[in-house]
Amino acid sequence: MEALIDRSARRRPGRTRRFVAAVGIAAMAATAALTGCSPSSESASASKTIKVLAPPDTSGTMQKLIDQYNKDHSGGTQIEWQTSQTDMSAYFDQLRTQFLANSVDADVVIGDVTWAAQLADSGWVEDLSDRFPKAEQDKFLKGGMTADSWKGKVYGVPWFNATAYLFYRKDLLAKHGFTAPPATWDELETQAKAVLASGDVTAGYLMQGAKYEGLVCNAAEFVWNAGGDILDPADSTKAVVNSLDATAGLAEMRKLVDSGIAPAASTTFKEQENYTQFFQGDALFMRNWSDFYRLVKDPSVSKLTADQVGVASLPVTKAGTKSSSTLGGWNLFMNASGKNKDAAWDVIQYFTSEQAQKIRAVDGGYLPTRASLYDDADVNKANPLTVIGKDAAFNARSRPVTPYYSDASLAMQDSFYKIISGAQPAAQGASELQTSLNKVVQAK
Amino acid sequence: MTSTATLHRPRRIKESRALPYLLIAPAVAIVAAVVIWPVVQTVWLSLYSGTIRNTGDFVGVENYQTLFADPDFLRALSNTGVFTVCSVAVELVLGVAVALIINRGFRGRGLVRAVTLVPWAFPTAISAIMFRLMFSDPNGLLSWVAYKLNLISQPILGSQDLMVVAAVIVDIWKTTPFVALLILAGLQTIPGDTLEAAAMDGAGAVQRFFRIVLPLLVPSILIAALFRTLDAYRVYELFWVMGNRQVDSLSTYVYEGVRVSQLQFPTGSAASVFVFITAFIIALFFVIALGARRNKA
Repeated sequence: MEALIDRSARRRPGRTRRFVAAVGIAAMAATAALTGCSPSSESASASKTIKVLAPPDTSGTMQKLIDQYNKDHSGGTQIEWQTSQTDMSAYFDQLRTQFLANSVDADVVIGDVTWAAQLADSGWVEDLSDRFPKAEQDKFLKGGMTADSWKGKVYGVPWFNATAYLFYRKDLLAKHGFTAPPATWDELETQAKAVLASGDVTAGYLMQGAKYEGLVCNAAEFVWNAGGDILDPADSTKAVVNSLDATAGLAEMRKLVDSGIAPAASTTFKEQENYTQFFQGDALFMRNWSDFYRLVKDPSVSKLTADQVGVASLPVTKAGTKSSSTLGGWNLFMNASGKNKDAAWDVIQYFTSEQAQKIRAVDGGYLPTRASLYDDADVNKANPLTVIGKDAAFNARSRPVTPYYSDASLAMQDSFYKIISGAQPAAQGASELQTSLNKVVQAK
Repeated sequence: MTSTATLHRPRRIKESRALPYLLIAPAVAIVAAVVIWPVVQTVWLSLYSGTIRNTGDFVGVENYQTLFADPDFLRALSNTGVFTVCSVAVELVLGVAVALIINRGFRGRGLVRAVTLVPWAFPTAISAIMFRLMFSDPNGLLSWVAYKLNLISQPILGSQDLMVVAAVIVDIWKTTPFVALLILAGLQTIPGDTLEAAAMDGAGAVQRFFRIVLPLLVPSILIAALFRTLDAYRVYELFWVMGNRQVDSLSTYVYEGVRVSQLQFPTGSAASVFVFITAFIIALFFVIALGARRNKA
């Protein structure tokens, strides 16, 4: 009780001080407003705030970039970070609801790679084609630009990339006499069988086979790396997944589980189960995202050393096919109903500039979206993936681009899950998926 | 007599006839605004082809036809049905047993009663994650035990059927204490002298339970069954979190339709109307059953 009284008594002078400060600020604001009225001053741009809606950032580099910008522009445009939800699908559900209600007050929205067409088709994000000329676009990796384009116009600027790699155990392959990581699925099976037979690991190949977005990424890679595709690249309203090539890829996905090279529980795995098992030393191969490469240095996760772990492009079905992996990563969009579009564009340019991306790549371990940074010595040194994983980063492909991606994803999850769990043969699954995808992308 | 009163003071009575309606009007208005209007709105939406981006056309019962032709919906319906019947039935039996135990006088009874409630105090989403880890393959404890006992031959979280069974088990673990609590309250209203008298007359423990305790417990059991059935019928977190979106209940089906998808909004609306009507029928059934008992008494 006494402490309470004491504290309130102590607080009083503080309050007075705050009151004085408030009056002072109000007076300053009034003066600013008055001078703002005079014709000589350059509009009211002095106190512009650009709100950026983005998920929390554990690397700390986002805050660093914002602080830097605000310092450089003190007295001018300032960036305010509105943190969104961490879970991207929950964030997207919420964002769509807010856009519908016209209640997104952020000027810049940071979002996932599959959102561009959906946001653009609804007219929620600004067409950036005029501000973002072709010559400038060409400096970015192609996968991200495909994902951010819709009907010939560009709606987003890629901020960082995430790409999938084949992680492999260098030491175990060497021990069993294999000199290189597998280039084809057949080679992978041979190597895995040999190592599994020795009992060195219990899992040959780890992938994300639970029924969620991750499965779509994994299955899309099997399709692409067999030479197939999901939607016609020339016509996004036409599904082409029911082809011999695509079916062969999907059959390979099931075969890995069926033959015991991938554990039976593959149909329940997400990223975390996979990298936990791999870094505990209990798997030979793993398909996982670039983000997790840095975990090899984290002794609380990894029993392995960096020398034991290699990364390579994903295997393909037939030797000679170009290997692709799914593109992930975030992009910057401009709210179409924002009021300060020029200032917002300035902020977007700042975040995606070479300089800012370099900070993110060196301090945060993110893969840049600008091709030039993959030849930057500092980036290469801090982030070895930009060297050993350069090919995969350059060949990363975006998932089907359609304004109905959410529904397309649900349909793909359904069919791919039936195939990987053995409930449907690959051919039947691919044929049914073609029918259901066509319904979705043609919005029937 | 009221009739004579009416004759003597007609005006006052006229006023007092309007008065109750006036007094009840705000409550009716609130119920209409927060309950009836959303229901009407949803029914309305379920008759249109609109998605989140456009209003669409009137299509009558077409959305319901799509709904009942959708194998995912039928699967969600059967999952929810199996889940509700199995979990509620087991919970009632176990709940009565637990209530009988914690109703007896023994040392540390207070502590035991408190401990029994612990599973119920967990937020469902948290226990769902906990059990997901225990059911997971290859590191989950329960999964490992089930393999060792030859109960399963495939990963639990990889099979729709096994996941429903798993959900029933988790729900029993979690909500039996709640049922026990409701039934314990009922047990404590049974007068001790009735039981004593029965014992004096030579009724054994089993006879006393089935002839006296159980009949007197029926109202409590019905109330517990009402709460639990409705709760289980609209199960959401357990399926969504533990099943990792891989196994549908009616509620997750509705959510997927109206929030995740952009095109299945009308079907989702139809599904939510279906859930509303069927839940209403379930509630009505229990309310009538309770009322019938009270009238008999």
